[in-house]
Amino acid sequence: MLRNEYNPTPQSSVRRPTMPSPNPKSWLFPLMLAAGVAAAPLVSCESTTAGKEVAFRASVQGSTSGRTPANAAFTTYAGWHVTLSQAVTVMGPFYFYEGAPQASLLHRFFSIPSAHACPTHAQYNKGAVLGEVVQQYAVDLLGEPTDLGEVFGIAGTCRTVEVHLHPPGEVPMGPSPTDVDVLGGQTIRIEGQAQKDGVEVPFVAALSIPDEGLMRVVESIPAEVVLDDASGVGTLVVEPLLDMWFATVEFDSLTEQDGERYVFSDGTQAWNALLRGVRSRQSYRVSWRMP
Amino acid sequence: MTSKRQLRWGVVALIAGATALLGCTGEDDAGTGDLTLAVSGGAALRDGFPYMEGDATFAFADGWTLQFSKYVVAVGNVTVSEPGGGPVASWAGPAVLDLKKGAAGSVDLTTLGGLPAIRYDIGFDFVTAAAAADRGNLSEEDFALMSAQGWSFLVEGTAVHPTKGTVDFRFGLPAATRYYECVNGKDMTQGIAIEADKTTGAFIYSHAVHMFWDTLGTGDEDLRFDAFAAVRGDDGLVTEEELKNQDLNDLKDENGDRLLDESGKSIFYNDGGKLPPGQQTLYHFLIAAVRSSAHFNGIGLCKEQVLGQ
Repeated sequence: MLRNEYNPTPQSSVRRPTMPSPNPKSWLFPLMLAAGVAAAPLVSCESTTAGKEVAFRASVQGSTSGRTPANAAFTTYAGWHVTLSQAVTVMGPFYFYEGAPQASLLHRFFSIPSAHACPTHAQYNKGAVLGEVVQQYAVDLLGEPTDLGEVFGIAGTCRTVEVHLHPPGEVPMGPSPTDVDVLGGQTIRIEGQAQKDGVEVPFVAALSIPDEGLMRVVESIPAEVVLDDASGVGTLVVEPLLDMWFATVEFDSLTEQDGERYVFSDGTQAWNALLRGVRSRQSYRVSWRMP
Repeated sequence: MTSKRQLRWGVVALIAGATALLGCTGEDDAGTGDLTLAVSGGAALRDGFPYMEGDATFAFADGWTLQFSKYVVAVGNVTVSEPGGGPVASWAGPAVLDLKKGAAGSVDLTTLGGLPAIRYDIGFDFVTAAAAADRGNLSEEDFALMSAQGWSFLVEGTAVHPTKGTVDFRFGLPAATRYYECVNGKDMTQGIAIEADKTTGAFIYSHAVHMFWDTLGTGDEDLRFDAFAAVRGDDGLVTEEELKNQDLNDLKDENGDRLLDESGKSIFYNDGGKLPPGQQTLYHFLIAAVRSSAHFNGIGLCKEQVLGQ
């Protein structure tokens, strides 16, 4: 993070009475006063944090884990060399949380502690919502950043981001230069060419995430972005990492064709792997970008 | 000399400070009590599947029934701390415990005595068996195996399906994990309050049902065993080695065909976005599942940190 840490104004929960001038010869008074003042912050048994209002811009831009542009070729974890000609999606709402990530395996990559939730039990506490974008936006992942507008929130350190991936029209849509109709009602449409060991696979992946449980929500994406008074001069950027979306896709498992392109059919290895990749919190990066 | 007025204000400040301290940590004069801890695997371990928990029936969606014959977990580093402070009492252990051998799937762990009667944070670890000083109620063979393999869990049992037959399983799992700042499942407060002149009982809950849920996230979970049974060896046994061959992105049935659910739909194990590439197998899913199985005093959740990787 390039900016200063957020430092809330220290507050005391005890009002000090007006005191007479201390007598320099007195030893008992300062001793008692020091003891009282030292204990004062403990009165409420917890510190208090001011929730200052802040405003910042947010955007989405496709990228890769190697920080190369998404419209350049990339190599996946499974060893496929992939070149994309089209990558469009709808994303949103977005929630920016103060709470730490929850994934138990992320420490391996990000060296962070974690807390967990479990099915049927209590929900993981995500912490305070520092900001939110309640609309969805059509995003050209191979193009310029898609502006999500100005976000009004509260000061703090954003440690996790949550991205919702609903089909177009299921939530109100914000303005975007990207034509949502190319999606044909799906959440994601990606076209490209994959190559490995002399095998070339032209493909088209059209995907909508099953509406089961929280499947359409990518929770607990790690972040470390300070939101404060100076946030108005930069942008919080959510970057889907396309090489991670396709990390474990085996393109040669595709068998069904639409014209010359192989399609990602429901339930195939490629479809499952893409779904897992899109839903993985490791497939997104959150950063702060100065103009 | 100190004037009377200064003295009066000083006394006010001192009393205010002392009162504040008393209000926060306060029951220093309230006496002491003991905390006795057990480790439980829950009704799933006691009764097998299906089982009842309250009004809910926990049964496999794919028609299997299942009984555990062994459920070993290695537990250590129990800490009792003042909230936000360091430990005031601890039990290093560790101990390896076959919970199946305990009455109702529960085994006593330790008692921490003479604790000032206030509220405490609770923490504990699942550790590798090799760290344990003795083999507890384990056989020498199992203890040696767990120690050599670096396992924290050893689970055995038998699953039966009306048309697919009988499948034995034995999973050894490395799952060393630290759990801390636990919520108390009894009243959903953080930690536990020790009462003066009493022994307060509590238990670490290794919630066995987690092993067979098909989701790590929060959502529409089902209990399933088909994916396990499909990779059983020629000897009819499923071990952790077979589970490494069950790719979550390409789940296969026992014939090598796509694994389908009761309605003919492909089964998707929802890892909640947690498993990175290279760890998207049923084996890694199971490790993550048992890591998320630890609770305190019922289903109280703890913060969690993976150890030793």
